[in-house]
Amino acid sequence: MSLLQLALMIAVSAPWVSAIIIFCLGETRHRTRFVIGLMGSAVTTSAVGYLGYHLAQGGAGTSLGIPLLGFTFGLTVDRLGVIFALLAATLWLVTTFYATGYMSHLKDKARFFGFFAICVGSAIGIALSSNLLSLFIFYEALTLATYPLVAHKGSQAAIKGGRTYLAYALTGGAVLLVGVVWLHALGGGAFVASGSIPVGLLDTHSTQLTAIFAMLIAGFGVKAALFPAHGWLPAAMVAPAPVSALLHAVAVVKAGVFGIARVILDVFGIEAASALGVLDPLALLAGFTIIYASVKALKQDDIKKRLAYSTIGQLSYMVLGLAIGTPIAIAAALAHLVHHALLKITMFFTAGVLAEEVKITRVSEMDGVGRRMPLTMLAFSLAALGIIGIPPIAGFVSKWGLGLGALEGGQVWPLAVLAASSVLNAVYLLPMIGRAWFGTPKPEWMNRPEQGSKRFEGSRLLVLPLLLTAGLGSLIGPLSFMEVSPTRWASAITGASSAMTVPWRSAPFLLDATGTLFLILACVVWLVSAFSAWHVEGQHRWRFRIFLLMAACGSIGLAVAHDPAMFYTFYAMMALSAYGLIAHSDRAPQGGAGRVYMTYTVLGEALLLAALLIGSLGTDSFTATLVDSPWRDLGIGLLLAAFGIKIGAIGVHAWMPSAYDSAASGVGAALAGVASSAGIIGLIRFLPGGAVDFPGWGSIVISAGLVAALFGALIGSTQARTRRVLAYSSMSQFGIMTVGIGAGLANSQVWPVAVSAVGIYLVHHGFAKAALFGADEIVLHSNTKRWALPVIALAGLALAGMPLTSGAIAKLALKESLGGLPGQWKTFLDVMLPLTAIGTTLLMARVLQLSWRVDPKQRGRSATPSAVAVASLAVLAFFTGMLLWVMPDPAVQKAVEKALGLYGVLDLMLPFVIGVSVFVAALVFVRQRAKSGPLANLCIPDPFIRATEYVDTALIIHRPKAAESGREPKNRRPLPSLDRTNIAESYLLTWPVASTLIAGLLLLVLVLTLL
Amino acid sequence: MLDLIQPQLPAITLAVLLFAASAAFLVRFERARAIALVAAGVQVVLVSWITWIVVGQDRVWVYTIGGWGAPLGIDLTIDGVSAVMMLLTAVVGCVVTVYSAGYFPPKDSYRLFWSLWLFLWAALFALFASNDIFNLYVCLELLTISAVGLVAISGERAALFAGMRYILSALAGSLIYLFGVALVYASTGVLDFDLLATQVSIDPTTQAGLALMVIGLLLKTALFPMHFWLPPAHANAVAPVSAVLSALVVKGSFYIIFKLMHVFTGHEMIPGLAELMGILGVCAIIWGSVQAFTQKRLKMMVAYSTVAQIGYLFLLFPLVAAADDIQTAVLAASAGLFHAVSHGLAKGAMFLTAGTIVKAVGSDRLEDMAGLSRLAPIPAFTFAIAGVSMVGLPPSGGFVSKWLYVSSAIETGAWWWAGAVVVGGLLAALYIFKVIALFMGSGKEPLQVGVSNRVITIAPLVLALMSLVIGVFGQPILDLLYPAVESLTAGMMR
Repeated sequence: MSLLQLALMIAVSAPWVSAIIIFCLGETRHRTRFVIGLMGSAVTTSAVGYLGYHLAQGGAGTSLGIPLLGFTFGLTVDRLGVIFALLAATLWLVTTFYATGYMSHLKDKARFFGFFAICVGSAIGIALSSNLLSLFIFYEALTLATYPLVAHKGSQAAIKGGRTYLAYALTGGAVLLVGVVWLHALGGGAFVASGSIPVGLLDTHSTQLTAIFAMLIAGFGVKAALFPAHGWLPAAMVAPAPVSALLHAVAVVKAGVFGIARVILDVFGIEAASALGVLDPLALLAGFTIIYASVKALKQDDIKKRLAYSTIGQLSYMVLGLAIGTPIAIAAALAHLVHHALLKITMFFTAGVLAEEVKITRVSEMDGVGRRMPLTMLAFSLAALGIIGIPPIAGFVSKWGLGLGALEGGQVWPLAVLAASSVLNAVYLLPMIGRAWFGTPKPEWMNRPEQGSKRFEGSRLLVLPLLLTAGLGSLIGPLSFMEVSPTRWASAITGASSAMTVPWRSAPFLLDATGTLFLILACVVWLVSAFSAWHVEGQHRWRFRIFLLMAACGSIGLAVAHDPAMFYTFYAMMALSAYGLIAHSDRAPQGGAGRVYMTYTVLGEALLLAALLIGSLGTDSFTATLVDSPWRDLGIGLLLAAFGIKIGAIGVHAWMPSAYDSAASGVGAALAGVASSAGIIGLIRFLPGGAVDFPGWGSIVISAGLVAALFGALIGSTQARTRRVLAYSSMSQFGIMTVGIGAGLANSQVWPVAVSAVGIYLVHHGFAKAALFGADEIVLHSNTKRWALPVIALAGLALAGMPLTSGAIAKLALKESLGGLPGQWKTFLDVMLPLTAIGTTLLMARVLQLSWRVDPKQRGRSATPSAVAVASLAVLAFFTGMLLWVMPDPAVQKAVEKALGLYGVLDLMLPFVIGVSVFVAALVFVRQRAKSGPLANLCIPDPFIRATEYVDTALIIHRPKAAESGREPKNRRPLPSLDRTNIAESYLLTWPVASTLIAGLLLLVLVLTLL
Repeated sequence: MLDLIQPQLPAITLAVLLFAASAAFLVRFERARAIALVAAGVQVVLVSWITWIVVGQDRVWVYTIGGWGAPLGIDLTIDGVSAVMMLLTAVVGCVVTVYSAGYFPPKDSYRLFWSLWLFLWAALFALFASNDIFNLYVCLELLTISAVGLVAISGERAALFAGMRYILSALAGSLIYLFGVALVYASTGVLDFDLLATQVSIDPTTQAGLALMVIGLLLKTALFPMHFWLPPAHANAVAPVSAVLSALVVKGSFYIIFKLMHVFTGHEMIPGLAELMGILGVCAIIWGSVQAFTQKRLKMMVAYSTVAQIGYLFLLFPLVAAADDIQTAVLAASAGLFHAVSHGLAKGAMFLTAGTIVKAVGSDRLEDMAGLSRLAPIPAFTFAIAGVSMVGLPPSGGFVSKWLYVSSAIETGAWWWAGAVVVGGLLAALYIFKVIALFMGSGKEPLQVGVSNRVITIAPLVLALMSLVIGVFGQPILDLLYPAVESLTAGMMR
């Protein structure tokens, strides 16, 4: 027996041996049991680690076994098996610590830890089995060993959960058995890299093979919780936390997924399976399960049940990847096996800690728990973000691969599933994070425990494991380029190029002209914001500072990120951190501006991911790939929609007014000036303009931009709060910028000019808007308007495009870029653009007016030093905007030339004069109406906000009710009708009936002889 | 020395049992116990030795008592099948003996147990070694008499009633069988299986004889709907007796049916007989499982589980009949025989541990056993392991036989029998896990558990673990069965 075989033997048997020792130790020897468990898991982990190391070194696999039933009951080493085995072994080691801490007050520890070890041993056996029979034997052993753990507490609920689990698992096992035997009868069942279906069988026995495939998948699908066999998993959540964590997030459920992987990859082989046509239905089923489970998760108030449904969905990610069947998709599915394990085990660990330390089992009770145990909840939050698929946490990497894999296979619907699932995941996971960090904690939590103990988190045995897994889960994503990362390891199994499966490319950073402008803007404005907001008072200041720094990092990072995944990473970082700035002062974190912002953001992120994936399938640059892609139009549409949300394009802008309005003091400038501008950067960077003409898309974008510009002006100028006016102004300004982008899209010749013009406009707008917000800050928070009004006036003039301001340059440069448009567009725009300028003037006048006579009630507390800082820096920002005039850009120079000319000045002045006149007229009109009667409410409601509120209310109705989440246990007797058979049986037991039966039978047999 | 013993091994083994039984009859309880323990140990050694020889010679070992030879004398014929059954008897018997030594209080009222038990053992050994339909009758009667005595040994009212019911039905079965033997003898003039195999022909007398023999044996095997005597007898006997009856005694009459069906090519002699037995088997599986599920008493539940498990044995016949080639037929036959072995081990363990549990709890009622796993973990664990084999989950003997059954059903194309096997497993899970859940749960009041006796705790566990071990290392048993089953089946296929 070679060293390798020895290691193989040890890897599988060590858990069993430690289980036997634990059983024999008895109930009371806690320390010894802990040591045995630790030794067992350590030995197993090292043995599996050695196997992995051997394979990584390029060593050949090995196997050993004994004959049984025409098979070999045996073990083997290959890359696929080692993934799962190493996962189970390592997490067993971690869970041993956690479980020891968790179980300290529960009974029957020997039984618990013994069966726990058996479960892990079975899982590792499944991983390292050499054929379906061996796998089946370990699979059923796993079923059995899990049962005592599920029913561990012995309560009625626990017994019931255990019964449900068994009913599902045993039925699945029975179906699986028939499938395995049948396949064996046809000569298959061994694990061979390309599939073990005998040659020619595919043609002659395709129906039988299809049936066998269905049986095998159904059998494994029970543990993989595929719809409709998923019902046991939520029911099994009555188990103690370590069981839910290791078994129901990792070992048991993934045994099912692993089985499906073996069936598809090594029993049938991808080619045979796709020739049979069985993969597409499986993929559809998995896709349906993903959506179904996510929707079900929304309705769960019980934390563990919500996590269970989340697990069901995530498991189907893996099945989906396997069923798509392309190398990238399979690699991603296998990597997700590991990624999800690390993240979900963290979440279940946390759920256990919450239940133990603060007796929280429901989502609705989680308010403020982040302040009670910050480290624990930090780990939870990271894991949850990872599950949603926020880069760079591990979950994103596998989601990326799944999407690319689907596209590689020529299918685009999985992208829709992934996007929908991401949104739903966010909708059910983010509120948990939101409650934990932004909710109000119960007062008794914040009293430190008595006896001077400084313990605030759970015990160390509980917290360290979950920090470790969360850390691993977070790091394993960025480190996926490494040779031994799950992603690369899985890629090696399927032969997928690691350039595809690892999202981040080798040269992700590049600074182009627009990027430079944006970088300057971002740096300056964030610096201003950070300075002025740093001294924000209140007890949450550290939370606020962290979010602020992260949002700043995100914006600065996306300025230089060139590679799609890298851009997406920073973009998501910025967008999500901004939530913390918006919701900071929000009274009700579960409602209001924060949630609306988050909903739109998450939607945008999901669409953006889909768009980025379409352009990332290949080694070419993003735009080149997108242009050649069969899903080019879909990609462009997704890009426009995704970035449109960020820049408040018409129809998806409803988040903007409330978000700007409730942004924490000091950061409004950055949100309005920088964060939203990132959408324009994205459009410029990823739209494939300049290569091909897209007249259709161009028209759509130009129209949408114009509508947004006018709509924003119309609604905005009637708003009663400065910041809402500013928000509509942003919408309007971004609308004008999109007109430029649309022009570039329509005509590829114009694209470079348009991009550069839009970039200039972006910077101009960013600075001006930042200055406006800064000035508004002073108006609100200080007693003097001395500093503020001149700033507002100056910035307003700039936005309105008065000569000698940055706005003049930006406007003229943009107008210049529209030159390449067809005639009718040109005429149309000649009319429309001045209209938008009039609108801008109206908006700015309204801002000035509102600031002039600011409502004393609105005015904040006393003057703060930060307000002064804002003022000074806002002025600085404004003058930085003026630097545009001396920019050595040809477009700028041309615009400068024009702006100084008479025609240019008139061109700029005319709308301004009209705008001011209209505003004054309106003012006079309103004054007179006010004299004659009560002042009419002039505020025009925004229909899109109404619609959003309506949808939001509809969603609230669907939010969990405490009574709904756990179905009331109906105390029905099990199978009552069966008891009636006892009456029949009592007849059978009487002599007359018995002897008649015997005689009858005898007669029957004698009659048979006559036949 | 060894060379001297070896040729006489079958006779010596039988003689040891008979001598020990007689000796145990004459002495007091403690002595009888000692005698039985020694005899049991010797049995295991001798039967292993016999098996070793059968394996080594790879053929049937015909031992002619006194050198007379058939048809005049009595032959002991030991092939792979009988070797496996003997080995099962020896292993279960040995464990039961050890268990009984710990189970019975040393009172002289139980003195007769040892003697009766050793007689029963001897009868079983002789039955498995017989190759003659009349000798089999004699063995059956010996078996019945000693078994009935054992059922009644506790002297309790329920046991006596059950024993009476048992003896009446068993005697009826024997007589029907004997009638059949007479008819066959009348038509063929021979009784020896080997001779019968060559001389049997399809004529009404032989057909009727076979029909009567089979019906009689079905009654003794308690195949549904003739199981009426079994649950009371098995449930009301003392634990070691229940174990022996369920694990071994019913297998004796099944073994005879198996041989009859092969030697007489039963499914050709009486068309539809094999299928009829299969259907009754399926009915037994379903009915027995349902009844087991609804029982309120532990031992009754285990007894009905036996009714269900006996059903599996009879699936063998339709599958063998449906087989096209000898390989498949052997597969089906091996499935049934392996099931006999695995059920013997598991049911032995289950009844023994049920005895331990009843003794510990002081009641046979299931509701009194809630929360047992905390207070008596080893019996609960033993019950669970034996249950795993009943359900047919891997790794257990029950799984191997289930696998073989499903394989042969699929290979013969008569796949619906596989459905019966699979559904039967799930039904078994219903009643087994109902009890396990009860053990895992918590009772209304704390249990008064008084098991201080290591012997009756550990002995069932040993049997239960063996039923697991043959699930992984079961190949040798199949190898041992193979040549014998093949030659039997080959005769039938011809």
